[in-house]
Amino acid sequence: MFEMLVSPREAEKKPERLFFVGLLYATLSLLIVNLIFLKNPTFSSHAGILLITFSVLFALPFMYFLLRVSEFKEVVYGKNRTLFKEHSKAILALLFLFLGFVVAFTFFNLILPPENVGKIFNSQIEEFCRVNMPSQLNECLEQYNISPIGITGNVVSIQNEVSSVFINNLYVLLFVLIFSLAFGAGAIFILAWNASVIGTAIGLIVKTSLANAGVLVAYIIHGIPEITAYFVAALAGGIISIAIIRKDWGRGKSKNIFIDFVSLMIIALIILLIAAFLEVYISPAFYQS
Amino acid sequence: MLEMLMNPRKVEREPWEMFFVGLFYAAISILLVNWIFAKDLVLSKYSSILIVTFTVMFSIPFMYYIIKLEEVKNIREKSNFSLIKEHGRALSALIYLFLGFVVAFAFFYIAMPNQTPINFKAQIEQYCAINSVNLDNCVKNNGIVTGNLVKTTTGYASSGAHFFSILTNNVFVMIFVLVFSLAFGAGAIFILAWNASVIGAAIGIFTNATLNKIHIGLVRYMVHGIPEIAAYFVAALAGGILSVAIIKHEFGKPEFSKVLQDSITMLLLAILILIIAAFIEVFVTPKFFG
Repeated sequence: MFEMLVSPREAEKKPERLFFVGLLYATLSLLIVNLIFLKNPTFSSHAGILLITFSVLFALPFMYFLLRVSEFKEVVYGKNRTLFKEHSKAILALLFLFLGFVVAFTFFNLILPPENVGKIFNSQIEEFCRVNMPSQLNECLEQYNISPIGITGNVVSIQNEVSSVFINNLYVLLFVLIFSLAFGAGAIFILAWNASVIGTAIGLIVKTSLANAGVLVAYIIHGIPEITAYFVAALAGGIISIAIIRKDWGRGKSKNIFIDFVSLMIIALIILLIAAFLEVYISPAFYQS
Repeated sequence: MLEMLMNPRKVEREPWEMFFVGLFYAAISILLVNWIFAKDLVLSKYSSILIVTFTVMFSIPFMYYIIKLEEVKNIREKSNFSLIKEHGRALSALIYLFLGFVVAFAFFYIAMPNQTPINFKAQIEQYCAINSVNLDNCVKNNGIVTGNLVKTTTGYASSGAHFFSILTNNVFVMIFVLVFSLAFGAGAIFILAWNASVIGAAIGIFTNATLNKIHIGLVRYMVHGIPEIAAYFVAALAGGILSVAIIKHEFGKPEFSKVLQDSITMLLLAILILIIAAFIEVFVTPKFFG
């Protein structure tokens, strides 16, 4: 019932509505985890992942619909069209969904008592500490009442070159592509996971001190193009996946679909490169401020 | 693309084919999670839940189609008997799907012993929480290092108490399934996939991770497991068709009261099946397997 509160057809016409959909689904997922799973000792230690699981389950119908519409456009309007303009609504809709997730997760990180944040966002805090404080991982985890079992420190070398940042992000992009190829809407998992980590990071940073707001700007500057690149890749993989399901692949339409796939992937790589450049050369100025 | 390897309409005609769909999706989920998240230091810790998450993601399109088809039948069919018969086909398709999950999870529990403490961590903890008096020893014996579990089972004074405890627990699970499927048409599949993974792990533990004993483990757990899961699926269908009816804005129309009536009948049927399953679990299975 909740997965259909907003019609996917309407959302494609008005992509900004997906922001509220993301907000609602992330909130519902948090309520489900908080009310049902947190009391179970087995599930409570996996609360952070369950939060993503339910956000993904709610968002799947939207993802399907957007991919089906995009693939339909490939087949019907395959020629004489502006590629990015045609898909821009779908990409924008996904970005709004993502932003809705981020805002909801940030909000709950800020308003929930610290002990609940440590329980519900346990895996996100682990990821935050692993990325931002690799040399003081255990101290970072203990600060949020998380047991350091299973994670070792010094796992991430500080990346300060465009190439290493780009290669690291390229792996994520490939996973997004593989997921969306294997399962049309599958990439939504990686995107929801990233949204929850970013939401948690923003919450933790703002809670520590508002003076850290510069870090947020730094995140946003390279984060938005980076996420856009992942969405473009997800759309590319999803279009192929849906084309195979609908048996459009191999009916003389393969060429159009494949050209679009390759074009979208090239666009994704260019955006990813720009994001890496911003992360290395622009964002540090805000970290320092 | 993998989520649509088999047409849901065809599956309704040949429900047994869902066994292989379940087998395939659970296997693909385990392999994907192991391949993609193994090197991720945070996400690899949560493989046991991620496996269930991906199994659910693959199965959701099937659940949707099946629930939608069932809702159409509710409105079309006249007599209750033919309605139950019609739902029966969807039900057996879902049970085959569940069986496919169980066999795949049990197989990978046994076939990938080095990965078992990672792939089935949460399932082993759950198994031990339900079945073992000494929880810490139980999880440690199965290769899990943990520090925050709480003992939940204290042993039972009599078979009757055990029966009521099992029945109460299963009714709670059924309520969760109902709430989930109401909130999200196909949402109950999460609880069902989770249960399949716990039973898969239980079979692995029961057989001492011996592949050629897997059939004994299956019989051990499926004698009561099949009716129990059938009851959950009946509840999932009841919630699912109600959820679809609400989505389609049938609230207040005569069609809606027909759907509501059918959902209540299905829930009563689910409770009856649960009582039978609990009876088998407490009084019949131990006679054969100790």
